[in-house]
Amino acid sequence: MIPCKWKQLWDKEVALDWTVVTSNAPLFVSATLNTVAIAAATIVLSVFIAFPLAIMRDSRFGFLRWVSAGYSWTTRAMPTLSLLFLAYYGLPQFGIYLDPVVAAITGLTVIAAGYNMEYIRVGLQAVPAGQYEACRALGIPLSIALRRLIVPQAMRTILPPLTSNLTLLLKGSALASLVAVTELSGQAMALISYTYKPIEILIAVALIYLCLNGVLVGVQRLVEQRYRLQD
Amino acid sequence: MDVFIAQFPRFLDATWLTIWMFVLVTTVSTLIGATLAVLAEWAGKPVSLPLSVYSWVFRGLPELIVLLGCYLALPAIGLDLGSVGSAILGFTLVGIAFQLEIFRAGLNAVDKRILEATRALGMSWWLTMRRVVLPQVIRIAMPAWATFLAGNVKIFAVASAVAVTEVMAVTRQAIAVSDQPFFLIMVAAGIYAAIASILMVLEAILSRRFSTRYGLGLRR
Repeated sequence: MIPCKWKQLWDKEVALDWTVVTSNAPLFVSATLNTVAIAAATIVLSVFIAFPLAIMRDSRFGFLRWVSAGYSWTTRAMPTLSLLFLAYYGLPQFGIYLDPVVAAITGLTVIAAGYNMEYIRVGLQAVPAGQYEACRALGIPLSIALRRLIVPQAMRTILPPLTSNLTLLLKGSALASLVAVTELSGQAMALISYTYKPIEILIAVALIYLCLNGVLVGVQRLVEQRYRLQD
Repeated sequence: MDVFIAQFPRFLDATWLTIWMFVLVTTVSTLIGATLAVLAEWAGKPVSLPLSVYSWVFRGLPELIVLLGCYLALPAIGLDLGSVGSAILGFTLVGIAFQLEIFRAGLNAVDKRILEATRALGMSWWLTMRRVVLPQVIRIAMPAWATFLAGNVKIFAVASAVAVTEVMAVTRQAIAVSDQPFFLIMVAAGIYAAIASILMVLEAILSRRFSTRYGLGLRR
């Protein structure tokens, strides 16, 4: 049988002591800012990496296609946690010692780029082939063509799935706490370990995460509304 | 490399633990999630609103927080399930939320006019469910369900944070005595990737089997 104290569950009055949360509010605030910073850095960097990869994916050169396809498959087959561990515990084998925050952002970015690369690729493919042909016919170099003509059109297809991925990024940032980063989850674990009030702290942290998630969902709705196909 | 060979039995045990935890969580969360989805569609606002809240909460929270809640907060109110038990409970809670959404989408895809027709014909609720709704829902929701499954194996690595001796935790312990941490972590990732690949193959087989019945019924 599951070892639990049923009688205690019914009889016990759980006295919640919210001063643990209020007196440690500055810690929560700074930890939340860390989480937001990590998530923001991950989003920006991953899109930077994902764009070249997406272009490579449909390139003329088989080697580039192979590399980026391998990247996509690998980063989507590995657990996020293992990549974080690779960045923080694995790289020292090769003499690269990363700061925990840098390692966390690196690991999360690599994974996020794998997913974002697929969204960008779909978006670029959704732009009618005639646009690419016209650019070539007019002699516009690929780099300028992409930046000025193709990508603005591709944004409509790219942005909805990209923004819905934001929630996954936020959930991934919580894993950074397992590589010694003082972000929200890590701060929660530390506070629980010396105040022994897990219920209050975890409820507070859960509410903060839900608020952050709410903001992201709001962003996602805005983007979907803006880029919805006008009938 | 020698560390891996020396620790191989532990890796094997940990892989087995991951697999059976995954199977248990998937089975329970699918059954409960599907049932709750049916309830949400048929029982009206008082049921569907709390379920929507539940779904939003448990899909939005990081899994780590849910696991910590089950592992640290529940004992404080008297429910002590141990590390594996609380991990299973945590993943099941999250899994139910996702399955709820998957099956809700499947149920919504059933044509309402068919349901009106069944009511006009006097078919009982259970008969309608058994003969009309569930066959369609399973076919519609199967790809999303299988995709979610294949992607869900990876999150079990987080169970290592609540002292479950699954693959990631064993790897971490092995790293402490090894000078090749990169290799060991890649092995752990490879184990998860292998399980996920098996599931993706399963998904491809299931999708193909379920999709040929649709349309003109032409068998390839």
